[in-house]
Amino acid sequence: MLFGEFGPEERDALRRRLAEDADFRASFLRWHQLLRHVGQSIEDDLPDERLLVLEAFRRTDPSEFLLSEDATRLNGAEDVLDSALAAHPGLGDVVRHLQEDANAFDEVWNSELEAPSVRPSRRPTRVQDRASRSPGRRGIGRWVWRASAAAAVVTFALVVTFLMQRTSDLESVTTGPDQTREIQLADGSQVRLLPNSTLEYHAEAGAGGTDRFVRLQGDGYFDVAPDRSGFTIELPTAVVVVLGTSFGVQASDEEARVYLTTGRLSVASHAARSTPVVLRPGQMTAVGRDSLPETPVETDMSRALSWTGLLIFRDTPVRAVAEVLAESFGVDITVDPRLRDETLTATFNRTDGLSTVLEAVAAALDASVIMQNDTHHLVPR
Amino acid sequence: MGQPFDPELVTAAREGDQRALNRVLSDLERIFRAFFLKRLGGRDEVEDLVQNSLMRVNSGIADLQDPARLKAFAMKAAFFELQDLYRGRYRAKETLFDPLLLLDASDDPAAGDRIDVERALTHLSDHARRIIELREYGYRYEEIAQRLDTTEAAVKMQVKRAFEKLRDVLAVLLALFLFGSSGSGSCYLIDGGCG
Repeated sequence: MLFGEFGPEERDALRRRLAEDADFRASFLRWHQLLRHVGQSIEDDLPDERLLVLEAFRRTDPSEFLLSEDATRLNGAEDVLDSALAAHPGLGDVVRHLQEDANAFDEVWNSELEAPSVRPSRRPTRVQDRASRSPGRRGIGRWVWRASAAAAVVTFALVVTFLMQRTSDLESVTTGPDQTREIQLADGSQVRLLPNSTLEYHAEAGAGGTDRFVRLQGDGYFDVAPDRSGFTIELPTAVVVVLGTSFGVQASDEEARVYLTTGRLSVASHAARSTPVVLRPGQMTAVGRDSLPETPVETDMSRALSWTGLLIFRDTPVRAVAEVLAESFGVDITVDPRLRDETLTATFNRTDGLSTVLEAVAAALDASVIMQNDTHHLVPR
Repeated sequence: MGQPFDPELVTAAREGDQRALNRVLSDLERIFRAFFLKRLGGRDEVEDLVQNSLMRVNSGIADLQDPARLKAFAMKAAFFELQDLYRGRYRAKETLFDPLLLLDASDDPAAGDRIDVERALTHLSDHARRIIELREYGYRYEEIAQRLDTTEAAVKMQVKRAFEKLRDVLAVLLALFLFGSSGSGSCYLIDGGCG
């Protein structure tokens, strides 16, 4: 109710509670009308919200980012903008974030112009489709495919073909029976390679516009950096294509199991590359040799990925977090009733130790950890 | 034809040369995509932002006064699109589910509830008010957490505490108003003016 994120079940629950609880109904009304008031007052105090963007440009590098006509516009609205920023501290945060965006755009601009892409376009561009859906906007004569299942399949097939031509010159890392290694790739992606596993990768993958491709035999946890190019992982029985995501893979000669934590990815078998399944966060699939991927199923990632040595929580209720930590470290942990239904999103390394992990959890919840009778108690401050 | 973003190329594009325009937009497309991916990650929104930004450049390039300032021009297009994305997320006309629609006419505050909202907001900490304003501006809680260098869980905790505090404050203010002892010379009807 508070966070405005309503799925179908939440809507039904909300309707029932509004019908049954008069006090809740009154609080709900006042809260949402207060939020509306906050939003309306921002609009009333700053009718021209574009001024925030222009102000960010002015503060960052006016000679580089601010057009002369926009500088004039900004000067003419200086009093209005100053008043709005003084009345609404959140708008100051907006401007500061826009300044960070401006620096990021500058970096991307310079980077892209220094290393132009040498790959042929994988997707024809159809801007006229956008024009037809947006009356009043004229097309520009090029074609852009919007991201869709069909486009993903085409892209996937092209990537698979491309990688078949390009599997030489790979570097290789193999772990022993008791060894776990953290590997950082050139594009910033990270791979946690578990014992008895082999990872092959291009040393310069992702740099200078090159495609990102790795081959895995064994178990690994991937944290893939977002990039304009896909990240491809070849397994003995499957191919995985990702775009800015984190997930775990257990791959043998007979079966691959893929667990998705964040982002999105598609998984296909070598036998049927044109029929991938698409995983959403919290889902896993398995692909056997010469089989299609299984229908993705929801899985408790906190437990399903325990073999990675990581403690992974995604919108996990604190009471469940405590259960996982208690099991992992073999201790007793209790959670104050006021905290039990709060949720946590975090990733910890088990080797950090219980004390460090509990302190981080407490900090996120604005809570404290009290040790009493060999039991850790998580209580609000 | 010259190098990408050569002022001569941009001038030609501005004057309607289709090949020049396609060349400019092709290079801007990869810059826009790289930028939006860098700031938003691999989200579905990225492609829409890329296309809409290209549309802005295409429709506005004839008005670009200085061909050497294409970067600033393109940057403005991208940022205005990003701003529209944030601002459109939670506006009532954009949302598919407005929680206030679950209420009926008897809940209309004009029927009797007059509450000094601005006075109630002064009871919030500066931090809590920033979070609420950023949310109403259009940021998601995970994005707010990034901007404030904290966790999403901590941000939501602040919202919950703000609600609990304001619930009590609003109840007190309502009681004071009903008994005619607000002591204030002004009041703000949540959805209208004072009579």
